[in-house]
Amino acid sequence: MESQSDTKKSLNLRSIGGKMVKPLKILLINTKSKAGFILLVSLIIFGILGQFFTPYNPNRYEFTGGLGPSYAHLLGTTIYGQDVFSQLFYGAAPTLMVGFAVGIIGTSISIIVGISAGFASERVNAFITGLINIFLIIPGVLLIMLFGSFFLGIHQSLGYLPTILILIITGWAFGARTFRSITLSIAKRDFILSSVLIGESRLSIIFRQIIRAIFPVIISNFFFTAMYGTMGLTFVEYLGVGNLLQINWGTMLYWAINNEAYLTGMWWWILPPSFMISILMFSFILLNFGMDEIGNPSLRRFDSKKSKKNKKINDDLNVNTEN
Amino acid sequence: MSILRTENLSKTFISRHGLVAADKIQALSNIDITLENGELIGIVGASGSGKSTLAKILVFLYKPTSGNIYFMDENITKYNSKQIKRYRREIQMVFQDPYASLDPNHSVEWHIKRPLILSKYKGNIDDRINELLNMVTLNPGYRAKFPHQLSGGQRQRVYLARALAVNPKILIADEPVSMLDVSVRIEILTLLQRIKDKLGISIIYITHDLNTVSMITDRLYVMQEGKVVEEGYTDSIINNPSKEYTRKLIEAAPNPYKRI
Repeated sequence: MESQSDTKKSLNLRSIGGKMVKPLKILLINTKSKAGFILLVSLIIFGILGQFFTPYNPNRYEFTGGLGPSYAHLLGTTIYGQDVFSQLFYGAAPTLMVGFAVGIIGTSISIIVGISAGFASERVNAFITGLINIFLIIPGVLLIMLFGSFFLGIHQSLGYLPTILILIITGWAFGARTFRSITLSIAKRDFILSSVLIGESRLSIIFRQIIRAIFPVIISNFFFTAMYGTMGLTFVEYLGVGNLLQINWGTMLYWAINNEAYLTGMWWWILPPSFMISILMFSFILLNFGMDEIGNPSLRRFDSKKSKKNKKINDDLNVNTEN
Repeated sequence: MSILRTENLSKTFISRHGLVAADKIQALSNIDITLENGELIGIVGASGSGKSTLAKILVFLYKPTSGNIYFMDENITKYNSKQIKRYRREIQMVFQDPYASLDPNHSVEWHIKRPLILSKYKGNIDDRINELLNMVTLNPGYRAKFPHQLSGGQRQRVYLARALAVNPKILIADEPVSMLDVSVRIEILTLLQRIKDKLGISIIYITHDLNTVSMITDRLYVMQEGKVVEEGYTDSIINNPSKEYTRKLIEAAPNPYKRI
């Protein structure tokens, strides 16, 4: 009896382990999402290291202005005499942080709103759909500029919070719409009706079944919203309605363009932040597309070599879940 | 005392085009059926005759437009959601498509464990799962498997075990074998019969296939365009159908007396 319960415990532990591994493995099945994942992880490492190991203090104006790239200054200096590489290195973390914060919080809101709309009665559904549509047609850019200039006075003490808040308000609706329509279609399938019949509560069905069924879409939507967040931050700072004393890739672009770096030939000031933002966007897009292909098999393209490899990974996945 | 009875049951679907214009579709009109305790009745009819609508109304997935439903001679038509939840512990439904009725993300064990937990089963849940799997003639070794690893017949058995875990008094089987291989059908049908005999569960078996109906049912209702056009004992209906429609249905089946 004891040995039986022992093996059961180990089985449970293994199945938990399998569950933890599964989301990461999903990302690695598809070539696109694998490439995006590697890019994103290296950017995150870059951002974390940047908080501790900048070669110079990114805030201080201590060098000759407008120096070109050299060994002492890998990407030269700004016209005010700051080290561009230090700024780029240090500014990675806030840019990523805003993106991820908007992604996580925005996706959570859209999951809650979207799924409850898809699973609610017809009247509630119509009401929430109306709400989502209102938020969808709010012109995000104008709202960002309006709120940005409104928050400018109190920005100092709040850090990135106002920016994140605006981006979440303007960014959650799209995902909510997606989740609503997917939930509407899933809630009418037999396996959900069966759970209704055996007496499962709505919350149990949502958490145990629907969220698991739409998991790839959730991940894909997370990257989409995170992309919107990063893009939005860059945009806010680029327009100059954010706090210009913060260092991130958006403010770097703002100062570079404000000082006409592209006219004075200081490419080392304007190109690196643009390049890094593009890489970040690219990794998000790759992950988004990859998850789309995983979640929607009709988008998948098969070639024999790849499908052999995929089959192996899928088998591994099955072994994992079986245990 | 009949266990389940309907009285003048009607259902009209309204499909709206815009605000004013609407199409009315009369899916059921004045259905009277009776299910006695421990009986296995069949409801047959061609596609679109309202069989599945009737099944879904009986488990309250749809609300009837008019008419009454009696469960143990108690009128349950106007039940609120809490009462419906309690009523559903007495009646379960087996779906047509075994490939859609099991959640692909969960194991066989989960499917049977959930109804046991929800109905607050006292006693060892583990043993009960094995018992249920044995009852539907499935090896308990299948517990850890996922639906995609099972065949259609095995899935339908798992689903039967899930429905039986609720410990219902009535089972509605909505074309449970129409998606299955002919060789597997007979196993599921004998299983239904055994469930009726051993557990005393009353079963409503819905199908368009008169071969299988003649095998297991005691009484028969023939439906056409939302109405019951003929009813009676299975043998007498199949031997002398009184309606043209029933005769056509019987002729359409290859041979009602051929045991598949």
